[in-house]
Amino acid sequence: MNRRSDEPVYWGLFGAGGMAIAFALPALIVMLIVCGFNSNAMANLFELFRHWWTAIPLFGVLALTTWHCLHRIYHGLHDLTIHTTRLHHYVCYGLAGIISVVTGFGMFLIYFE
Amino acid sequence: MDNNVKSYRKPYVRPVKANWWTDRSFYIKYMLREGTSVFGLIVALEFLLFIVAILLNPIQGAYFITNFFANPIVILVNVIALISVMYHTYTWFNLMPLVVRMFKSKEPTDTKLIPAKLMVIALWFAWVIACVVIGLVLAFIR
Repeated sequence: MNRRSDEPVYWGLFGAGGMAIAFALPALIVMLIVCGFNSNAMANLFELFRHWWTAIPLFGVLALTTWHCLHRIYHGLHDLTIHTTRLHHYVCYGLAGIISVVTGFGMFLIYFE
Repeated sequence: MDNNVKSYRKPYVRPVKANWWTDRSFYIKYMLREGTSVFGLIVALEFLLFIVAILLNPIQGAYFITNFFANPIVILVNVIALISVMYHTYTWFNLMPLVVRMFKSKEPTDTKLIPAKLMVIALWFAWVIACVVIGLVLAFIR
């Protein structure tokens, strides 16, 4: 019996994540670098978690980034001559799931604190 | 896919070294592009660290995270992450015309695609707007 592949789900997240990284991550990384030199900027970064209209897009960007990157790393293992098994699949996508759920739950707690 | 017949084939699998990609610039660029994902993951983890630190202890956590981002090694990693994410953006936008086929007209008989260059330029234009919007939000959010 052939099970339907679950690959389209991950590929969809990969595609969306690629767009999210391309558009949002450069500006956010610049902000992280600015925070390194000016600690007042840290307060502005923190404000992103305290408004729903910034927190929801930020969660989207962070979760999609995680899924995109771990999808790419998972498929990149083959290029590093590591023969992937079901275990690699569960580790990569499991890690992506855990990171995005913890990020989302943490942002939820900060927002309602 | 599965079959229970024992196979007596002994196919020759050519051994591949892990550094197969180092002797062609095309392959090196490919591996660099794939490697940018490591830095994307690092940035996502930095945000996760920020969230966890604030949640565990709002005052000490904020102190810890301020010192963390001011650490020269972290700043260096962030600068490398910025360069690699920009490389990702560059390659991603150049890929888009190959992934999304946009027709010039809605007539089914007219199958001319819009020029690839136009789509890439439009994406960079949208990227500049996105960066300005995010920058303004970050600068004036209260």
